[in-house]
Amino acid sequence: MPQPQATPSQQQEQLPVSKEQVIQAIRDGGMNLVQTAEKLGPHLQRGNLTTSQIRNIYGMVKRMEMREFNPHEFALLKPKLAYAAKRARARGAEDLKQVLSWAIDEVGTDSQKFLRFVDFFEAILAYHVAAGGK
Amino acid sequence: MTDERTIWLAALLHDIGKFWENIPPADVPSELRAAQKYQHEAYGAWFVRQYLADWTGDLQAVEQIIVKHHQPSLSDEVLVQIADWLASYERVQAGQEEAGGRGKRETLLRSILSRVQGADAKLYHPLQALKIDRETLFPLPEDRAPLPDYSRVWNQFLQELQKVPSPHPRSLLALLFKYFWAAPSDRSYEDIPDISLYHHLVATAAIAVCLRRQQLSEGELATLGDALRTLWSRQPQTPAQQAILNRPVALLVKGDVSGTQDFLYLLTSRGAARGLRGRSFYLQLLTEVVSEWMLRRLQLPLTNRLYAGGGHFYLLVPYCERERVDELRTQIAQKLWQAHRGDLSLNIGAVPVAPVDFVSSQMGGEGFAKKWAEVTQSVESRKRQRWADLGAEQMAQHLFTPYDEGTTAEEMCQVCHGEWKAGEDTTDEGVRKCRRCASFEQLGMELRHCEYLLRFDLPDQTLSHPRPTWQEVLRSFGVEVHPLSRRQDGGLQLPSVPGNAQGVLLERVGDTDFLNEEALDLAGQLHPPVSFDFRLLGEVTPVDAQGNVVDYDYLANASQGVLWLGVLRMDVDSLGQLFRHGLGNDATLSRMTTLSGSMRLFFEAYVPSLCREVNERGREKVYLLYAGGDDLFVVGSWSVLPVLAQRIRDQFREYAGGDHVTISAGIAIEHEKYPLYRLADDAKHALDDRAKGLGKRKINGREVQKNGICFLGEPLGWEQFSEVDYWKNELLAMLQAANGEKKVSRALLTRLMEISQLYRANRRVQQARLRRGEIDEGQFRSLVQHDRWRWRMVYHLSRFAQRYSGQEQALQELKEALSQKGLIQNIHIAARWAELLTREGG
Ligand SMILES: [Zn+2]
Repeated sequence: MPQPQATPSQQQEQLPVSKEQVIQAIRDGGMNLVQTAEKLGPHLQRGNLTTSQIRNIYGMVKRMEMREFNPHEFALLKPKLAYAAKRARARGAEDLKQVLSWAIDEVGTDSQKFLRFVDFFEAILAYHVAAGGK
Repeated sequence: MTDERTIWLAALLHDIGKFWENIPPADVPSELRAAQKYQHEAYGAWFVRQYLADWTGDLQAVEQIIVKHHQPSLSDEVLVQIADWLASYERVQAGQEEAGGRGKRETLLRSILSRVQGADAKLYHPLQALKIDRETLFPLPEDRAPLPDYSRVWNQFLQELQKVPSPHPRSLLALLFKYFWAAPSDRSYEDIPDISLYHHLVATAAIAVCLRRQQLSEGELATLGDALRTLWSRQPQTPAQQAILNRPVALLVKGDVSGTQDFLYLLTSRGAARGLRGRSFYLQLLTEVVSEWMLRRLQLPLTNRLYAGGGHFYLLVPYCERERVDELRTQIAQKLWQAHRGDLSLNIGAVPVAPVDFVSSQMGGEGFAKKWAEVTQSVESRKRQRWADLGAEQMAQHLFTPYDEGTTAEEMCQVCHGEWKAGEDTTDEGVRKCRRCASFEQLGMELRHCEYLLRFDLPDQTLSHPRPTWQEVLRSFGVEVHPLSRRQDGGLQLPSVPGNAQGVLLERVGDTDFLNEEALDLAGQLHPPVSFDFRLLGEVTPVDAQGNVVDYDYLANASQGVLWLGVLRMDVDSLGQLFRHGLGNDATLSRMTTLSGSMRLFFEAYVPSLCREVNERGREKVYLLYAGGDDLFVVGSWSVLPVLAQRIRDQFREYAGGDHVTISAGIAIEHEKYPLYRLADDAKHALDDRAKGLGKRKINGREVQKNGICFLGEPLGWEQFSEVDYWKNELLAMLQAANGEKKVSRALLTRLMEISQLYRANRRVQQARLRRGEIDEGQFRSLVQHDRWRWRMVYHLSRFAQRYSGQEQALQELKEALSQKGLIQNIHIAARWAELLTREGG
């Protein structure tokens, strides 16, 4: 699939979801989660996010899912995300960091919400790939 | 008083003149005309005088009864009039929009299945002699049905009738069926003509014989006639009238063979296919032969058998013979015990039938359908005390005396695991086969190219051997049956006639042209005089390129994809309900026999041709073991069975004229080594418990069973099934790259099955929450749709689209159908189906 050229205007494209929507996705899961991820996927793709930029972080999250939920360990995700986004030098990575940070704050110490966070992350990446993301 | 046979013939032909009404004969003698009320009575009498003078010892009486059956004076004439009424009397008022007997199509038979409650379409049978092809069998909408040519059919009938070399009731019945199966019995102004003339005549004859043998006095007959008139006009009845209306005149007898399941399928695979064919046909023969044996013992004509097929039969017997019926029941039980040692038995139930039971509830009676249901219950309660029919003494003797001495492995038949004795039983290619099993295989072989069936009537012969052949069993019921196959030189091999033969019957098999030159020529070589008939053969046997009956491994090997075997079973949904309620208040005997006859024609005459369509020459795939009554059983290459099932269903839908009468299917497939009886059981479970467990739906206000198919363990409505079929084909196209692009990896199927599993697991979780009241219906639906399966599906299909860019569009469509059109519910079936079709080998 041809990669759409990122134009300056697209780089400035506004985040298609609000903080409230992200929080809602983590609280409710289901339709709110799917639709929020569905909007983010193509946006991040246009922002030149690539899966390799966040592979390590996604891997960590999937490993956490298999163990018992540890809020302390989970909270460390935020600085790691920030670091990865900086290194990636892509608007998409920055946006993803923003969205996931909101989500991490919402999870706090709630293990149910953590599971929805994992789903949310996975769904975002799925729709990102569906939109042509690498 | 006239004798019973004369009454019978008169009753059988009382309305035959109706056929002539459209083409009135010019030369009807005036003395016949003078006696008639309408015209058909004189025509009927005139027909008998011209064509059947040799067929009765009392021509004048027959003529007289026919001529007077609408304004009788003598008691015989009254009797036939009453039989006529009891067989079909009703007034089914035609609605405003529908002309009853009048109008352009006034003379066509309305298809009875299109008359069942809930029917939308009005279908009509083209008037023609019975032939086994679609054009003849299928009813048509009014605007497509050809105008009937009464004179052509009538002349064909007369021509064939004159070919019959010697009078015999059986030959006459066969001709009446062939020519009047699609003729309406009544074409008067206000009625919807949905009863075939043939069925009306047969029912009248059956009832007339019962009435005659009950020896009702002239006064009683008159009272009965009056009672019926007052019943119909809803006037108060005298006690005498009430009494005679409720006094039994007949017994409805039902016989039902049990043990057929094990008898057919509980065999080891050695030569099983051939043996199965023989066994299945034997069961068919046994049902017929035993019911006819009962009729002979009771000195009743064949018309008193209302139905025989599929392991059961119905007889209408004069009430005064009830003790005889009990005696016969015991004798049958003993013969069958000797023949099968309890592996097969026949349960016979009987219920009394009073005149009021024949009258439709519309006309103030009880409705014959009620009796049909009652007698089935009677059989069921008989089944629970299975061996009681043997008689106490016999029972003690048989049941508690061990009879199986040889039980070491060397003394066991390798097919049925029964006894085997050197010297008496045989060995075939190193396999020990008992006489009985060997005889079934032999029968299966002989049926391969069987074109005629020859039958001799003999005195009953005693069964002496503990493992009797099928022929010996039938001889114990007084018949000897020979399938006739063609020799190399094209001729037919005739067996020698037994010296004690009392009668001969020559039946054409699978073809209604039964009085052809060859048959007449054969009959000329036989003594005593031959009667003629034909039988539809609801069977198809697959053969290899050399013409040998193939075994199951052959069928499995003819599959596409994985080399498995399958069993398909189908039957009409809610049959009991259809008979009890489907005909509404109009359920009379002749309407019910017309209905069962109509279904038989579909299954016995048409289903075999649908099965033959899937059998390619040199690579035959299905074995139609049985089709009759309202059901069918097929063994075959697994891959053709779903296609065949869908085709049979589509054709049945067209035949019935809508969705008011439906058919369901169950398919079980497995490795060829899997025992057939388990496969048969699995298919039965798939049909009875799964496909029929789809729930209820309403159609035109009537609650009916949802219909569908259970395949790969998943029950689906027919519409969903064809959607699954469509997507199976789409998947195959991607896998095989029909469009010339790169072939999609079979991993696609695995992914789809995983996604489906996610979907179904989540659905179960949400269902539990719904039950616990944690979420409402709306939330449930939303949560089922918006879960992991959804983005994973999007992810995987996108990945596939990237890898196989040539299939991008097909994958996109699949994605949409899954996410928006509910395909996710059934995609695992399509994926599994495609997986099996593309898997190599066994
Ligand atoms: Zn055996």
